Amino acid sequence: MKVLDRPSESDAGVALDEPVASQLLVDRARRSQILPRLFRSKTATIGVIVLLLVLVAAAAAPWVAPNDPFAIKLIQRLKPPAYANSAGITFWLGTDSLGRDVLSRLIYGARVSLIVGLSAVVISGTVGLLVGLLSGYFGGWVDDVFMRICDIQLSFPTILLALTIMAVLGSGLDKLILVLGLTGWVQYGRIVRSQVLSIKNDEFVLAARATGERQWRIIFQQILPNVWSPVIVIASFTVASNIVAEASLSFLGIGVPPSVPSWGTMLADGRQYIGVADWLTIPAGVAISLTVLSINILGDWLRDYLDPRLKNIV
Amino acid sequence: MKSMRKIRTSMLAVALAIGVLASVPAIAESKPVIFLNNAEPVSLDPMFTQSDSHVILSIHETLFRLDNAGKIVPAVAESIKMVDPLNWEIKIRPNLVFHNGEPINADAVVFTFDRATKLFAAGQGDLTFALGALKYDHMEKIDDLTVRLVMTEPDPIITSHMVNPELSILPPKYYTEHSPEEVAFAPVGAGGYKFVSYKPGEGLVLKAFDKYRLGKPPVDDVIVKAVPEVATRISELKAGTADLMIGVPADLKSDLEGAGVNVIVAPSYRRIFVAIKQGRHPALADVRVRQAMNYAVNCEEIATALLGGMAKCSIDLINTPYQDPNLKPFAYDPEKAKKLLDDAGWVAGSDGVRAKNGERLSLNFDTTDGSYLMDKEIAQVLADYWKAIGIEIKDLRVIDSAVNSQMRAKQGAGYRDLMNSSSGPDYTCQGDLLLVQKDSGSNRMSWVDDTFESMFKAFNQEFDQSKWEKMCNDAQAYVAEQAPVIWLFTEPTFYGVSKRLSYEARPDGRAYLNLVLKGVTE
Repeated sequence: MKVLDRPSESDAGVALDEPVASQLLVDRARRSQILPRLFRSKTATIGVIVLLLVLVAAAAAPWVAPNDPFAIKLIQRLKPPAYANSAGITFWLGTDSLGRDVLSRLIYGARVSLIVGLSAVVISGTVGLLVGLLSGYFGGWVDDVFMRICDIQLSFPTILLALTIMAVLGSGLDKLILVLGLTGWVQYGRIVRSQVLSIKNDEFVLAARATGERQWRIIFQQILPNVWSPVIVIASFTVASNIVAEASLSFLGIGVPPSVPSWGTMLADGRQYIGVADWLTIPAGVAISLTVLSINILGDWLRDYLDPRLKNIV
Repeated sequence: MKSMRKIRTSMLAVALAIGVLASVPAIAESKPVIFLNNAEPVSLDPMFTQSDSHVILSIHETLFRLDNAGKIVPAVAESIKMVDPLNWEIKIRPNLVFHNGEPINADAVVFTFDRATKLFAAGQGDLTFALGALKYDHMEKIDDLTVRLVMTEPDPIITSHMVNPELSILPPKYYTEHSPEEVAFAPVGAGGYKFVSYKPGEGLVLKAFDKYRLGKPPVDDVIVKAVPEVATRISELKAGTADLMIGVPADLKSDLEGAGVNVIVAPSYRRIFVAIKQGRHPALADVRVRQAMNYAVNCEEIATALLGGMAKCSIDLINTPYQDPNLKPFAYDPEKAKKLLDDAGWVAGSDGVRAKNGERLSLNFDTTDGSYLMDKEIAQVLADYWKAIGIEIKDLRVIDSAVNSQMRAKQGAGYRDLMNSSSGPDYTCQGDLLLVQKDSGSNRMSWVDDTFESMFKAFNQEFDQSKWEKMCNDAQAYVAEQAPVIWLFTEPTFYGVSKRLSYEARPDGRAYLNLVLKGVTE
């Protein structure tokens, strides 16, 4: 799908024909309607609310968390939900095997999940976008080289590749982001490439070329605005899959260090106590499920919204 | 219609009969005992691993062994006699054979000791500990069942060094005809269990050896499987798909018992400590910093809250009965710890982390997860204690048990600043002191102290046993004060044992299968 509100077209002196101009107006009108349309969908609204809650919890964790998530107090370990200690502090979700507040760790864990999810998407999206743009636009040997690299990367299961790299680099939030970012760019690259191939011979690109526009300006000013939509949709789904990947790698003990609260490490630490202290795993499991579900619902809605064939349905 | 029903009924009866007949051998044969170990074996060649003593001494046999009470008893050897302080004559039991039928005789013993010498000289194998402890020049044959061990220096506790699995007696023909690579996972020994097969991920399959010197072990078939995660080991025991695990967390004792699994709690001589690696961070070379780190640790709190009060905090360098009862562990005293760090010139910065000459007191700490009781949890608690006195653990890393085994096998190569660790008992004071002796393979801290070395040398060559107690106590007191490690405790061992298995726990926590498996019922 093309986004036709290209300011550079008029700069280039290309006159818009009537149907294109009217389409442009329709699209602008749709964009201004995005929030009302979003809230018209009940599932999407629920998704947004849950996601907003997680975002607020993550951003305001130091103020929202009732206790220090790192404070170890062995005397109050493995206390059940709603336990109140002698100082009158209530631990609404109980305490873990080192006496730390589960609720506070859950809130701080949202930070890790979202930071990893979003940062890795920025890295993979940027790399994939660049590869797709260059590969699709230039074609030839550039395309061959990039696509073969894609093929090689696709031949490794992502989680296995991430496991191997993390085993070599060691654990840590920065490394985790880097690994997930660098293992997730291929799908962006392929989609963007196919989009570029479909529009690179369109009139507005040819017109830009005819006016002597430099190639990098054509790529970034003419083509890039027209390939955003699928990238946004993929990004929404990738945030969810990155959150799950972070949880999986942390669960396997090679994500973030054990003292850092993350939903994955909470699950891993709590699994051996599942028979005696299920409050260690259930909150983290629910948090992962709800967050991922919300992002996926929102991604679904976004895909439908950006799909011209469903324009009148969404 | 009736005939059809008859045919169907007859076919069903035949099928049932076949089924019942087919199941008869399965009922008659006992199910193998499944032992869940925490890591895959590094090697099954005794000279190439220190980390797999459970299985090595189930397959192999040494000249002397530790029985289940920890007493040194003759095994392949029948007796030993000191000819002079440098010469010992060893008689070998008659009529013993290896699993492949080769006879156990003087040739086998001489071959074994020669092989160890050659491998060690070539820098191969994992023999630093064994040959660092037993300083022999060579072994020579006197007759078919008698050998002479010629030492390079006097050693009054020679038999305690012969129990080390690395010096398991090997069949000369088999180990000469095959390269170390070929025999690494195809061992032939003289122990209670014969090797059948090994596949990583599937397990090590063992079968009772009917010509074992103590008679055929009571359990016929054993499979040793590597399951690194404690949680998975516990799940398998609860599900009834395994029979034995070591290291049940204290918190889960009642959970396992509720699921019909026996949990045996046995006192053990396994000493738990945190190794302080020298040569990396300059602060750790300063005895005041090491003492401060010890004073900052509330060991009693860990022992009580995390280990159910079953661990005993001590200067766990030497095991009972040689541990000096008057030697008190470092008392929990964070203020004293801070003062020691101040005296050493490490001053707290704005973020609370101490620094000196621009270098932060910021350390790396590696821990295993499930190799020792609550090891990962204890590591986090220790990091918290040290944070309170201005020592930062910048990277607390969980390492795989197998990686830990490899690093231990290479004398701590790969250790960063701090590494949780353990040491089994030697049952002699001299042997336990090897933990910090510079030539010993178990000194993975690279801690070298000339005063201690001279004390140890004098003690290790003293034949007058009346002097041993004082020498042992003096050495303990000196090392305790130098704090080459973070002293913690001797931990109890929690065994998870299925209802059908009869198990005898050893005080050293080792699971020599031919000695600890006492029977299985179906």
